[in-house]
Amino acid sequence: MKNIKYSDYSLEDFLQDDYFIDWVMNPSPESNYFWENWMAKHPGNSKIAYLAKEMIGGLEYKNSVLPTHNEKVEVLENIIKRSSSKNVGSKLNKVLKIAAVVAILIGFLYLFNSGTYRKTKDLAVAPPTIMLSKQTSYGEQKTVKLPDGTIVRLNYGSRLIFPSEFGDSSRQVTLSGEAFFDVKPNPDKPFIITTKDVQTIVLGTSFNINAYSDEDEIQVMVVTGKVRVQNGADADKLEDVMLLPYEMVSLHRLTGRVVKEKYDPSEYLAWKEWTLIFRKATFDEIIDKLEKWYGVDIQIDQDLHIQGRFNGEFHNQSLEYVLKGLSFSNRINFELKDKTVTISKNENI
Amino acid sequence: MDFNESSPKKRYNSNATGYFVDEKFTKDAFLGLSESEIWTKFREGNEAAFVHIYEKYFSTLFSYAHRFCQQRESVKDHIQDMFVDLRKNKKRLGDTTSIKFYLFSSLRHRILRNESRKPLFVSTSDNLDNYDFEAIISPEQKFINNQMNKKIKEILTKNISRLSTRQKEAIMYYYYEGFSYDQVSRLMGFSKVKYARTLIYRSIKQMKENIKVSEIICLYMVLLFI
Repeated sequence: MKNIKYSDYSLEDFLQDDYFIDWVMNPSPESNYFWENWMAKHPGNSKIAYLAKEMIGGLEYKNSVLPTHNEKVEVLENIIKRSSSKNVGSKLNKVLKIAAVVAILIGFLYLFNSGTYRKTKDLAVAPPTIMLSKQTSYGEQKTVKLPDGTIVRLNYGSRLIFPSEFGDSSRQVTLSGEAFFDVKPNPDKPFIITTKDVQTIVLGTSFNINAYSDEDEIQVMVVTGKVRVQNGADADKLEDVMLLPYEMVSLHRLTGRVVKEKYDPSEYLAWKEWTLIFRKATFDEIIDKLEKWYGVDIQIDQDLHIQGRFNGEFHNQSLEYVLKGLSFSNRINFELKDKTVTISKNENI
Repeated sequence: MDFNESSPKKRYNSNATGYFVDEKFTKDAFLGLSESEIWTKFREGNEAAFVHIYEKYFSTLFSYAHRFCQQRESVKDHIQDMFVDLRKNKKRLGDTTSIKFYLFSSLRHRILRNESRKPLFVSTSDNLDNYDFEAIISPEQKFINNQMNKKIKEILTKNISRLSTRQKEAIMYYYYEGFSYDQVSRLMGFSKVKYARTLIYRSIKQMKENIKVSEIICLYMVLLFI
């Protein structure tokens, strides 16, 4: 169809044809095939097409000024800072106002009752603080609200230990596994998360910590605000890393290597939205992840060797569905029984 | 033959989605989503969508803005302010099928409001040349060095130098940035799509003046034997 249309094209026609312009500016295997074929079949008209190609593709927009990497990062940080500081500010104002109202109210009550309730005050000096624990098994996620209003989302196979009441000077919790923290701002009481080897200290931000004991790396990823991460394994060699939005730090448990870098939140924080993401994952990595994500046991046939790396993304999807996807791109059979999956070679292809 | 773009990501019902593909087919999490879907995610407050948009368009926006104002600092300020405003007003933003077009028009509007010496109330299509827009177009180096080609190159260079700022801007949108006539006319504030079409057509005519198709025969022959 296109072939016929293009045979009586003039130079102007080519210069104004979307499909032609698109080929010159962004050639793809398909359009290359089409136009090379067309030129070979129409040697007469192809001269015109060739000139049109040179005219469009040969134009150069001089002095295309490009930003440096630092400029790109700097502007992104400013944007996030300026958008989030306003939010935090207004929330903080509200909190302060409520706090002021509460303080006045308490003062009033105190005056009113000071005579009669002196004894109960003494009793309240030492409220019993008990340690609480919230945990998730494989295939499970939970949301926990802490006494100060901080919200914690626990990923599978994780445990958070926190007091029923925070102390006066700081808010301390212990984490194993992975969790996303949305910390209630409080400049007077830093929020400290202790994981194996690493301490994370914040005043009020949101960020993600990945500290599974069976993984080699601990990662802290910041979404808003500033976060300080201390490598607490060795008191003498205490390393302090400051993180800004969309920065993450990884600490390798064995080598002690600390790497600070930018990260893609759509990849690292997808789990909160029940989205399972694979990026350049090997077959073994996928199987390991599926076992934990769905809380199942996966048995793999000894003869099965799958090479290559895969990308995948599943939102709110059943295990069966994911396995079907996997068997599409590989020649495998799977069988799902209770909490056990058996994967074997598909001989029928 | 089918020329429709096929995307490796298949979408199912609105709640549950998923795909598995070989690594070489995907580049990022938003691949397979249309511009309008990504834009909607951004408007709903999805930070990943914002970062995706920022990463994808920052460099393009930077060199675009630099054509209007030559100080890097003000270029950065304009882009920064634009994104801060878009994030602040995200709930009130309209839908778009082209994020790039949306960003280009927001940015152009913002820059011309702040930078141009004369304010832009006069928006009749013929009176728009009073802003700076740096678009030096020239035939590219990669033009094969062949006698006939050299001649074409010379003519092209001469023809292009006679184009007006406005013509160059329109040509840049149409060829280089891939905008449609409709988008070009909306970007440049024309009241009718016809004006963009005519402007670009006239520019093309001017560019190809004195170039004869017969002169490129040699070049074509050379190409066939490569």
